[in-house]
Amino acid sequence: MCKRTLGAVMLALLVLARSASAESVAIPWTNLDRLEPFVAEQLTAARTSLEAALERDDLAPEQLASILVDVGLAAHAYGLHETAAACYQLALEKLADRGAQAAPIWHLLGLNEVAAGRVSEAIGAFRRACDDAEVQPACWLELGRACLLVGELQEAEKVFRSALELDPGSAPALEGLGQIALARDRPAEAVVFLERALALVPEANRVHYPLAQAYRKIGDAPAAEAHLAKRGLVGPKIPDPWADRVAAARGGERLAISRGRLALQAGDVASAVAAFEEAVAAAPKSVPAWVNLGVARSRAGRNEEAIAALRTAAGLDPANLTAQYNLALLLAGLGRWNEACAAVEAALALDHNDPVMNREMARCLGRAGRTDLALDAWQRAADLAPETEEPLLGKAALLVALGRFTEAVSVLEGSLTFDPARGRSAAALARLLASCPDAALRNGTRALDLATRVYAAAPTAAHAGLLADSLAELGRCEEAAGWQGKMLEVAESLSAEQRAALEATRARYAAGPPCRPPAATPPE
Amino acid sequence: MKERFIALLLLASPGLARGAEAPSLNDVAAARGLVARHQNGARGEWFFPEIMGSGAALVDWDGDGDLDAYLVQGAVLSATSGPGKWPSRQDRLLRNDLGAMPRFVDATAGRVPALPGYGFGVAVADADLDGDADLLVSAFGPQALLVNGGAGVLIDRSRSSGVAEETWGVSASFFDADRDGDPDLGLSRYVRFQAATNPKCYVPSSARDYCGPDAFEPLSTRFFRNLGGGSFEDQSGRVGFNGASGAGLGTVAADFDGDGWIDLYVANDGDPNHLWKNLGGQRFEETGLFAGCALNRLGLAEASMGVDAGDFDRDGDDDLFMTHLRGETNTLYRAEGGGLFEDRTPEAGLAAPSLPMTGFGTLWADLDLDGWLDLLVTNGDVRQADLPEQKGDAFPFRQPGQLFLNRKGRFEEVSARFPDVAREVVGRGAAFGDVDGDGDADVLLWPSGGPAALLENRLATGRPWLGLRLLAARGGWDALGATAELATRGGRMRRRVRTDGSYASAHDPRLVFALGEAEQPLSVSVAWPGGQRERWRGLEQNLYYTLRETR
Repeated sequence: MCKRTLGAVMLALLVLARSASAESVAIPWTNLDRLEPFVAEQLTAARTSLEAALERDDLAPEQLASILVDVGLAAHAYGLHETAAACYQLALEKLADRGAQAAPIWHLLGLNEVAAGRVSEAIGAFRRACDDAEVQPACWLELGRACLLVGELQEAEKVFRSALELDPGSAPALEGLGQIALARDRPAEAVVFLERALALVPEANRVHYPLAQAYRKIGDAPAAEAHLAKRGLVGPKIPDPWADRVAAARGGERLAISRGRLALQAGDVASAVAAFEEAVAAAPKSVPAWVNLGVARSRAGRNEEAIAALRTAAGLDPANLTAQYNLALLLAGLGRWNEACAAVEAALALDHNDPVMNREMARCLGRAGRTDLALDAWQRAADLAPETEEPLLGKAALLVALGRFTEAVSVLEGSLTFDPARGRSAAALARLLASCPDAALRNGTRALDLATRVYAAAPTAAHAGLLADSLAELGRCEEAAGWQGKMLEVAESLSAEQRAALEATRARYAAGPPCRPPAATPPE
Repeated sequence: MKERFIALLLLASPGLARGAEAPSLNDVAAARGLVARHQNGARGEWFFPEIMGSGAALVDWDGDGDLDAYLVQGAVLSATSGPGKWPSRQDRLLRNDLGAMPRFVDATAGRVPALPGYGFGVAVADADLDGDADLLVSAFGPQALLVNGGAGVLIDRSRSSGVAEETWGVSASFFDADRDGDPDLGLSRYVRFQAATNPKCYVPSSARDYCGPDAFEPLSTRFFRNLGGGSFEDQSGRVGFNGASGAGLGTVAADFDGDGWIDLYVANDGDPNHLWKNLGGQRFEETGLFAGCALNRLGLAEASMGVDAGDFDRDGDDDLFMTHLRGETNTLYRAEGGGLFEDRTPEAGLAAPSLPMTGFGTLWADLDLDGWLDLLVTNGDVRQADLPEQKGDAFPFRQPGQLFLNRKGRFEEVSARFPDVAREVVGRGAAFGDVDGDGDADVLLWPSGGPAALLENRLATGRPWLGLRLLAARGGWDALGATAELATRGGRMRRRVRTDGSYASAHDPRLVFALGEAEQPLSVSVAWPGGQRERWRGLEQNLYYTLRETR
């Protein structure tokens, strides 16, 4: 329960009429000592108020019901579903012959039962709620989803259609009808409903998944693949003021952080930032709150504010690895290397086995010209995360920059031995074997084989250029010129200078043998 | 297809006679001497592994024809637990001296080496093709290969075997990926957890709780190719497994697309599940998303702990069932042919009963011998629920188990009729097998922090059955992935040889067919993993037969 709601409860207690009878129903409570103090205080106050109210014999039933609903909301908000259910049920008991007032409570009970995993009970509660117009169409939509969950397709269809009549632009209703059509093996019909839902709420990217299933079922694999590529976690939101009341009853740092993390996972960055800002407001010295706020702000592109939040976290707890880690990554990403390297050092002091920080340390050392240490750091990063390709690429790049080409080739060969499907390693090795400054290391045949494979996997301009260089190294100049031309056709956003250089290379290839390519640039 | 009359190769053992009795699935562990308690190591430090283990195996370890029990233990972790500093643990081995009834005797001492790390799963196959069962034991710590020494001793060959990576391994599937006659190995790995940097996590009420996988970096599945003689090589990158990561828990191997190559399905916790399609034995491609078995019907990744594959609707292909977190339904992915699946959970009656449960071990077995695969699920939470009856419990994660009988493709929950199934435990590992040799599947449960339970199957009294053990030509051990079909009046009845599935557990590789609808004389056709097909005729009911692949 938020402070405002709790205040309303207290006020209600002060103005109670002396008419209700005493109540002896036991409401189950969890051990509040385990909870965050902020939350425990709220729930303890709510519980105390309720117990006082239940002992009085002068309250009107609707007054007692109102208090029970407020306490139920607080418990519901914090996931104390047994407590919430008992409060709601007792409130309904008090309002036995007042149907209109009871409908929202039935609805809240339904929401609570869904959250507790008791879907049959939820369906019963939503049905009762839907008897009254006040909670429509929210109760229809919630009832429809609950029915869908247990395969009650007929009732689900009925209530989704009712919701659609009331609001023809209801994306949740359209999504529900699409799901029903899919379950009934009517994929063409599902496509119509789901496409309409997406057109209304394009950000509801979760809908792409059932849509892909529907397209797959009607045999349109390309459309299915296209929708799978766009799928996400955000579903059409049911406009539900009662659910909003539950959410508004939550407070405290921990829960705001949880909410923010969920929003971040779902790609809803703005909501995540808002939740983490709530968390730091509730607990200004909370390191996790500041770290999460920093991460969310950086995702939102608010980099300076993100750095500030992460510096706050690191200042509050210099031993917090997550704060130092995220600060280092953010600063490195922005190219602020002096600051980044300090943060990397701090992070590595806390965990010298972190592969990402070892990678960043390698970059820092390389930039500082401490190349032998940088090579060691790249290797260490590779050893710590053998499944990632980047450290070996970084090491090879540095070796190339140092003119240690034989070692660079060996590193890249090692990367491909570990996983032959590594496209970046294959491309880097192809480039080196086609255009190595040390001509003795060049191997046009192997380079062409690698380049052919990477181009088949990803036909980009850069990979067309690799084919051109490999062919040139083999003396197949005319073919090389052709691929260089293709590269120029496909390449986008080239500067005039870059384009001129590539044109010159094509011209050199087109002029015929000898047309060996220019020396390689580092793979990174 | 070769046709063989059973008289030529009968290797049968008689099943035990049973009198009429009321259907039951009672826990007889204590009465049969199967007495052991799992140590979850929880000491209030909230180390993530404490809430996730462990598994168990029913395996004929000593080759005497009956099923013994191998129980994987947890350990007490500390902030310093990690590479080079793993706590030691002692897994348990209980030998079954089957007479008129099973009788288990603790055979751990001197036969099972102490192992480092927090134990998780166990997988069984004849890894070195010497004719007996070897064990891969996964752990939060070094993975272990225990080779059966043949004299009742399990020898730790972890270091020389090539599988001893220090990571968080959970479930493993042995399967002959390249059809060269020896079992290769797929190992799910969970997340990159470090005890030294154990983060704090909370439930919605704000109480401290165990973290979920989303607090950690997910890992990728490992593929170890069998090089012969119990030696493996990590070829995860070479075969493509490094191309996708996910917090892997359950695994099951089967030829899901019917192309003759065994694929691997990995249940990922909170991440899309992976279906690794086998492209001829040297490469795998992750196809779960398009195949329709990566996400639930809403497009959401679920918690995905246990998984099993079986032909529940008797249409000739393997469907998938998996267990999930409280608040999610368990999920039934019905195979539609060609390696494609559809989420048909509500239509099968499996959605509503699973919503309040967090499922782990699960088994598809024809428990009542009516010809249709039933489902058993062992549940136990991973998040602290607001359950008044568990208030004050330091490990308040108990939930009732569930039994669903298959009514020709739709499931009916009958848990309430079987108190020992519905008993509240922190369910994790579950293995099945015919422990008492009476032709039906019994169930070994290995709950976190709890005693082992052995559910003795008395659901199928008097119903005729046929038992098969299918042995590969090379090595002469169980032909994992082979399928057998029995002709019945009601259509095909198909079973697959496997020891994997469920959660971190291993099962009886023998197949059992219910014969109520069988055509007479009994005829069984077998599809071997190498592609060869053979048919056997002239089998008799209520017997186990050993059928050997011929080359």
